Amino acid sequence: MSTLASSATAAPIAVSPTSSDDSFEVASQWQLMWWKFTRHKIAVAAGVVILLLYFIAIFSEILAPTDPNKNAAAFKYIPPQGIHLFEDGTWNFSPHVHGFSFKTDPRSFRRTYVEDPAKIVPIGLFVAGEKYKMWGLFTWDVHLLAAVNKRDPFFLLGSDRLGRDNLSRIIHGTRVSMSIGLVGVSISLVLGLILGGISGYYGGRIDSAIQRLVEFLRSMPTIPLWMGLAAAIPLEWPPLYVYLIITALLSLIGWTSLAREVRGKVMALKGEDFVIAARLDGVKERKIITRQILPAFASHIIAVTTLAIPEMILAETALSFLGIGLQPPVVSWGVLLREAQNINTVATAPWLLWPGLFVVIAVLAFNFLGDGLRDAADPYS
Amino acid sequence: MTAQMPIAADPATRDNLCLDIRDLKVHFTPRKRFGHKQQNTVKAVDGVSLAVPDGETLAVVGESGCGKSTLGRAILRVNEPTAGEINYRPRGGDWVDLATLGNDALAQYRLDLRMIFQDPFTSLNPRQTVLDAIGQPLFAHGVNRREVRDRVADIMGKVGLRPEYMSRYPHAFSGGERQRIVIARALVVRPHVVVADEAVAALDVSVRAQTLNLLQDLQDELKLTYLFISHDLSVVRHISSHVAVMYVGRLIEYGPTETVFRQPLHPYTSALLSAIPISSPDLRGKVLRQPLSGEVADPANPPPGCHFHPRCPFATEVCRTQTPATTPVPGGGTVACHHWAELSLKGMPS
Amino acid sequence: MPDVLLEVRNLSVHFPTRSGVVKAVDGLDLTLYRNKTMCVVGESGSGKSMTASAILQLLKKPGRIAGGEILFHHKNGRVVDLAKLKANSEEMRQIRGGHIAMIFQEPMTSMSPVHTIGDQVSEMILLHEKVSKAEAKARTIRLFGRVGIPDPEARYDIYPFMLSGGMRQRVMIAMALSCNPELLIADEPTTALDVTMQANVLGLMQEVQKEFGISIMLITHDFGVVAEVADDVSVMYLGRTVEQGEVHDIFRAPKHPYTRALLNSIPKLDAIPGHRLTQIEGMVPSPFNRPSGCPFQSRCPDRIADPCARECPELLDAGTSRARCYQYDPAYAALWQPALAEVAK
Repeated sequence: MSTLASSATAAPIAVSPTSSDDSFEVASQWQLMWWKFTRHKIAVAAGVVILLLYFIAIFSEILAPTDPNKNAAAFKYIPPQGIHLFEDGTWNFSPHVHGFSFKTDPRSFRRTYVEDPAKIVPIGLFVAGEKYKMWGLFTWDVHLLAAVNKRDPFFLLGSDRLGRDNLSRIIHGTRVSMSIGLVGVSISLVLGLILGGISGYYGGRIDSAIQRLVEFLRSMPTIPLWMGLAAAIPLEWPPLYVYLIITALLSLIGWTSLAREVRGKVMALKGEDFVIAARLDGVKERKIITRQILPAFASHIIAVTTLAIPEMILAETALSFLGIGLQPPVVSWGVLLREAQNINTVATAPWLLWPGLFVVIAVLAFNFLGDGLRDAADPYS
Repeated sequence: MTAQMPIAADPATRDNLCLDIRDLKVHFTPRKRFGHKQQNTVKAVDGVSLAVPDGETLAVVGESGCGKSTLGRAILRVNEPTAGEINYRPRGGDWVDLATLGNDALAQYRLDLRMIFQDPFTSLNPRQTVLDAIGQPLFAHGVNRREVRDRVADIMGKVGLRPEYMSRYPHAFSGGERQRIVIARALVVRPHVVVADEAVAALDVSVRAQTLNLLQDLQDELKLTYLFISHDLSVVRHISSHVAVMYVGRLIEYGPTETVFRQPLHPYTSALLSAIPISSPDLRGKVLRQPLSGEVADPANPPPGCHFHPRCPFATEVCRTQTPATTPVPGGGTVACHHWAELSLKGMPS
Repeated sequence: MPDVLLEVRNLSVHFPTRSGVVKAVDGLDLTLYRNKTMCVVGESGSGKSMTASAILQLLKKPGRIAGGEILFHHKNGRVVDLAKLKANSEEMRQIRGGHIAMIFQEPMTSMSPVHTIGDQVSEMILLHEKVSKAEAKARTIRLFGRVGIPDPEARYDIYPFMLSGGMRQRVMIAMALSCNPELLIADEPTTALDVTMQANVLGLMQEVQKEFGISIMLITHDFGVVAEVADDVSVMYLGRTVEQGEVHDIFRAPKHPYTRALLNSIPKLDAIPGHRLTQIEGMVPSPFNRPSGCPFQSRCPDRIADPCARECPELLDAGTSRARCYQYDPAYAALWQPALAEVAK
């Protein structure tokens, strides 16, 4: 029969064991996946980038040179400073940046900053700077890299219109933007798994009802919907609440595509010979779902979820950029990009586009990682 | 519809049977979908009555779409029967109709009737070790891990797999070895009846012989009854004692394999036998072919009367309108044909 | 001396994978004659389908022809080595459509689902010959009638999915014949069909072979099919031809231990039902893990360690056929004499 030909191609699995031959025979699904994943070099690199981004998100208070909301009227639109490792003209190690003196253009009254090599701003590792509350638990003041004197200007990526440090704001924005993806996707995952699973496993009327709901939600134009819902959030709510509501809104649509995938997988697996065999063996329904069906597409779901995170990040960025997402004083990449909304600002202070680069890096990294995971998700094909 | 089943109607003759299927129907009615036309009911199995002798091999043959797999699956209640009886007699027990049992009552017979699937690649969960796969029915029935290990090791030895390999995953095995795992999973609970659905069809020629020998050895050793579903008539002739021929959901001929192969009574059986490829080029031109015109009827829309009449060279008016009754014939078989007594059909050359 | 059409010499097809190079075809020799049917028999992994793809330069990536010659003899006596041609060169395209046609196990994969079967066949004719559309259509309808498609005019306008497997295979044959090829390569053409359909399609292939005067290279795993249609047989095992000869000779007196074992392991309709089948021990080795020397030596009942494990001989003259086995090498034949004498007793 036709399976004869397919069995020929299916016999050698395209996964190579890294250690001895024996380990391959007893290698579980996850080991096979890992072997296959590690062969995808770009995906591995993307994974490292993402780990790095989450590391920044977790330790943003320490990694940021200063408080993201500290403004300094004297240092508006400061261009990025370069770090000098040695005392000028000598080989004495003394890391510093140069301070600024400013001139005012007599005709346009625009202030321009000129780096002033005479003004030395010493910087150091793990210096005591602005106080902050670490993870909301305890007060601390150590910063990885900061000006020794916290009043000195130190703007590695420049400053914005209120003289706030762009780098610190990006680092803090990383926390919000990267977590909004995770939280949003977790909500979609739970909704998608449960509703899609029920839809696929039981079929019939429940299936129809859930599928109509999915179709209805998917037929909504998302941006106007979000705008309407975001506008409905009372202004007096604390930023944290708004943040949570926004993630919930984002995942409201996100779960539908996941639910469809889950439904399809469950429906297909329900009729697979090995699931029928388990039923004939007398395995209980609950165990069939948790031991046979779920593991068969868990890896696939992980890949799909990974690919959904960047969509969330982009959605948050878009909403915040339009001013209907997160509101200051919360900082996210989208909120930061709002600062770079008009062409004048971009022309005079192009460094305000840096958050955009972070968005691009994060989204690309998630996409590459997701691709790698998807390829590795089914090690038996 | 097929007339009530005459074979084994007498309780006395049921003594040597373990399955007595009567007028079994498995119909699939597609769910009416909004905005779609209601589709025809597919009568995959339409009034099949069949007696399976205890300890022997009954082969069910037919072309794709004839309902032979559905019949096997209905006996195990993988597909729910629409009507009819599936009478089963456990070893040392009394007759029970499996078709009417609820899930809980059915559970106690699940280990008596087992299934061997066709495709060794889809019927094993790639995420389960061989121990978990073969031991699955034991684990599900609360046997402790140590005993499961012992019994799995024992059955692995019997089917020719090294028990040391029980912690390996299926991907470490070839197609033939996987089919042995599937056989071991069916037999580890010491079943009574095994439904083998195209059990050797996906295997390579050189491995097929091993597997057929293995099935025969295990039948002798464990006193198994096989319901051997196959499209390969030379394998059927080799392994079965009785054969049932199906065409578009109906049983059209049944009898001892030798009788049916040598003297088929139904024109379809005869045509099927004549289509078997010859075993040696020396027989070229010596075998009379009876090529069938037309196509196998669509089970969703079968022709009236005898389903075979559009392709049958002997069809008359009665065939087009009336469904032939299943008639007992000398030699212990049955045939469903209006004209069987008038025809003198060719069987296999002896 | 029959007229040679295609000669394959020492062909190798390699698939580089991360776990090493898979030698799907490894030193294959094959000779096809005009107006003859050659059956290539083998199990999965024997490389039989790969050989067909290699001949037409249709190997899937990363597979490639690693060595050897595929000599195609044109009617005018010119000989082309297909292995040297570029896969997408004009000459190769001419060969593929006009001289060698191919049909597959699953016809649906090589048909367009969105074009009518008639248009697809006409298209083939228009592509290779300068004829008018009307003439192409008329020829298509004639061909449909020839391959046994009932009511060919009406069927001209239907789509492949509306046909049964047997009918689709007939359309494939019509498509293959549309350009008057000299060689038809059929890769398991009846494996997906029921026995009655198989008998019909095989019968049709034999008829068109005689009528159109073409050669057929039929790839199969089924000795029944071989017995039905073959003139010559080539038995493959793990990428090599182990035996090649005339069909009656192969069935009457198989020379290679593998052919012998394979023929014995098939249930025979004329044997006593229920008898034990002769089985070949072990499994087909994985292509990653080929035994050294003769590929069959790990399962061979006649194996003698010294020559067999060392290397594989060429196709040797074994009397009625040619076999790749040391038993037929005069230098080693003596090693098997005692065993053969034992059997004779």
